[in-house]
Amino acid sequence: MFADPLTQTYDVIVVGSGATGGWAAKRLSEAGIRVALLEAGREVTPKEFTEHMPAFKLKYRNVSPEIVKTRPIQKQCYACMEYNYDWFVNDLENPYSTPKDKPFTWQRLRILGGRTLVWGRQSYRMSDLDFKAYSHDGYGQDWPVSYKDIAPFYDIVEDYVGISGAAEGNAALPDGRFLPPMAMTCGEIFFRDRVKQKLGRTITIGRTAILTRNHNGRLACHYCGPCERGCVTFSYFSSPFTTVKDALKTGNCTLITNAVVAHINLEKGENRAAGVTFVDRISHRTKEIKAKAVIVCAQALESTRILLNSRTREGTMGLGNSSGLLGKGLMDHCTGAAASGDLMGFHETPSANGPNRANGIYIIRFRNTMDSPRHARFIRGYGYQGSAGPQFDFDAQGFGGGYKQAVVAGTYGISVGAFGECLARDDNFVSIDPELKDAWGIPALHISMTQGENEKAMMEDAASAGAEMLEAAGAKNIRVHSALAEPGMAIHELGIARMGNDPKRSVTDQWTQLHDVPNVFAMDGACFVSSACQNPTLTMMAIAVRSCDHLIQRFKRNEI
Amino acid sequence: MNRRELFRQALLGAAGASAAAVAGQARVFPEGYDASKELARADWKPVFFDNHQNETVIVLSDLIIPETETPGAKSALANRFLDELLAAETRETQQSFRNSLAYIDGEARKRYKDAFIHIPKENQIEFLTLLAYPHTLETWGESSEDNPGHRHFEDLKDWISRAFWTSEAGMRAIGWNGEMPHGVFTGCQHRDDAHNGPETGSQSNKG
Repeated sequence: MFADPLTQTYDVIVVGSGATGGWAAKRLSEAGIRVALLEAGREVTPKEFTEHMPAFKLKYRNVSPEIVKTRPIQKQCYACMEYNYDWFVNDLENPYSTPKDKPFTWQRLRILGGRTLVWGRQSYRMSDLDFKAYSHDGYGQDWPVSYKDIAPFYDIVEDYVGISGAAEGNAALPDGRFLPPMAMTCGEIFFRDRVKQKLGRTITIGRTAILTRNHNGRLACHYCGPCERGCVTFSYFSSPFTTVKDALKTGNCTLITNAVVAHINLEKGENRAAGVTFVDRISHRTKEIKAKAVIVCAQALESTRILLNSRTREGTMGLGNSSGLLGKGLMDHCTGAAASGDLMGFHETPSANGPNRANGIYIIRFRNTMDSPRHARFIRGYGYQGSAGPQFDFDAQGFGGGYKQAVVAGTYGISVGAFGECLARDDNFVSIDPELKDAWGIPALHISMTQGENEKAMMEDAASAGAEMLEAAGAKNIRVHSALAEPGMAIHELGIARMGNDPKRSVTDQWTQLHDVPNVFAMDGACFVSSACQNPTLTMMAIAVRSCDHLIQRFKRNEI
Repeated sequence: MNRRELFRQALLGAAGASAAAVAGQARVFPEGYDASKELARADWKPVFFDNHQNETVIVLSDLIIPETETPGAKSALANRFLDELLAAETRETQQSFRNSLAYIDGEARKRYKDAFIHIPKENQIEFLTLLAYPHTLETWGESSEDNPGHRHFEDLKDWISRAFWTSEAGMRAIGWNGEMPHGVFTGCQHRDDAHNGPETGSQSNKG
C-alpha cells in the first residue's frame, strides 16, 4: 500500500541534500532515526553525466548563448556550461537583491546533491590558528570548539569521502587521513623546491576529494578531467552517490525532491519546531511536513533565508534571532590575487589526450601564522591554488601556419591564485527583501556585502608574494592581478548564523542548535564563526557529523 | 517559452531527437547526439550571415588558420559554426562582429579598390599582417598610434580560433586521438634531483 510521505511521522527533517545534508541524512538514519530529506531540485541520474562528451558535439560547443537568458548570474561560475546548466538555478525564477553599489554573485544549484555535483573538491583541515583566531589577533570571536574537538570528525569524514593528499607536518594546515597523493608535474616539483629553498614556504599537492585508489566501493579516478560534468565511476565525492545513497539504504530515510522549503513552523504556542512548509517546485502547491526536529543544510544563504522567513512563538519574523545577529557577518573568501608566468627549461609538449589531473598544487598559508611575524597591513592570511605544466598557446600572436604551429607547440606555464580569509563584519548582512519573491512566492533574500580594507591589503600582498615566488623559480613573462573579485565569486558563503557559547553574541551553540529553539539546527556553512582561508566544505561536513552524533545522543536520552 | 522548450527545440533542430523536456526530469543527451553533423549538411544555408559575409568569413578562416599538415578552419566549417553561434548571440555581439567584417571590407576597398574577398591573396596577407600585431613599438619616442584595425582583427581571430579549436578537426590538430582522455596522471618521471640544476628546471636527465 502506498503511504503518503507527508503524513508519516519523522524524527528529523533535513533541508538540503548537499555536502552537509547528505551527511546528516546518513548519520541519523544509520542510527535508526527516521529522516525526511527535502531537496528543492529534482533527482540526478548518471545518464546525464557528460564528462566524456567532446564539446564539438554540443550545438554551441559549451558556451551556449542560451545560458545568458536564464542564468546570467550562474554562468559566471566556471562549472555552469551548456553540458549541465540545468543543474544550476534559473536566475529568473530565483531572484535576490543587492544594493546597487554592492554586487554579490550567488551561485547555487537545485538538484539532488546540490553543489557537491560541481564543487572544486579541495579539502583542507582548519587548525587552532583558525578556530582560535580571536585569541591570536583580537579580531571577532573564537569558535566555541577547538581543533581537538573537530579532529575525530575530520577523521570520520576523510575515511569515508576519500581525500588524496600528502602529509606536510605544517601547523597551519593539519594533516589528515589521506589516500595516496596525486603526482606533481616537473615544473611543480621545481617550483616547490625553489620556493622552499629561497623563501621557506611550503607547497603541497592539492588535497582533493578524488580517489587515487578504489575506496568504499567507488573506483579510482581515470583522469579524464572535467569532474563538474559528473563522473561515471563516482571517483570524486558527491552526495547523491555516497551519503544520500547510504541514507536511503537504511530504510529510515525518505527523500522528497522538488520541495522548495518556505519556512519552519512551530508547535502552536510553544517554542519548538513542528516541521516545515514547502512549495512543490512543479505543481506550486503548498505542503506541510512534521517532525521532532528540523535541520537546515541548504547552504548558508538559503538556510538563513528559511530562518528569516520563519516566525517565532511571539509572531516576529526571524527564528533564532534574539541576538539580532541572524543574517549578520556574511563571509566569502576574498579572491582576485593571482600571478602567472612561463617556466624556463621545460620542453614537454601539451597533450590533448590527457591524462588530465583535476587538481593542482597548494601553497600553505605563511602570513600571520603562529611562528611568522605579524604583517603590518593586515591580519589573518591566505593560501594559493595553482599549477604548472605544458599548455597550448591559444594566445599566440599573428595568423597563418606560424600561429597554428605556435598554438600546438605551447608554452610551459605556471599560475597561482589566492584564497584569503574574509573577516566577519556585521555590516555584511542578509535580510528579507520586503517586496521581491521567487517563482514560488517565497520572499527573496537581500544581500549586502563588500570586501574590506583588510581583504584588499591581503590580496595586494598575495599578488606581490605570488610574483616573488615565481621570480624565485626564474619564471619569465610574469603577470599579476591584485584587484578583489566580486563577493560571492569564491562560492564559499559562510557565517550569518554563527555558533558560540554566549546567546547574546551568537545564533547557535557549538552543536549548531539555535540558542532560541531547542530542536532547530543550522548545520551548514552558516554556523562558521570565521572563514579561515581554507576551502570550507571538509570542515562543514565534520561539524555536521559532530552535531548529528550529539543529536543522536539527545534522541537516545529522549530529550528531543 | 521556458528553457526546456528552448532546449528541446535546439535538439530537434540539431539532431532530430529529443531530450526529456518534462519539468522535473533529467536533461539527457540522446545516444549518439552530435550537433556538428548538422553543420556538414549539403543543403546548409546561413541564417545570420548574408552570402558576402559568409564568403568573407570563409576567406578569413582560411588565411588565419590555413590547412597545413592538418586541416584548416575552412574545411572545419568555422563559418557555419559561427553563423549558428552568432544567430543566438546578443544584438551587441552580433553588431560588433558585423562591424569588424565591415571594417576589413572598407579598408580593403580604400587600399586595394575592391572587397576583401576579391583582392589577390598576397594583398590579403599583406593587409592582415599590418593588422595582426599591436602598434605599440616606441621606436621614435612616444607611441600613441590609433589602430582600430588590430582590435577588429583580434576580434575576428578570436571567433575563428574558437570555432576551429573546438571543432573535431581542431582537436585533432592539437593531437587528440578521438578518445576521451584517461589513464593515470604520473607527473614527473625524473630522478629526485633532476630539477635541482642552477639555472632552470632543465629535464635532461630522463629516467
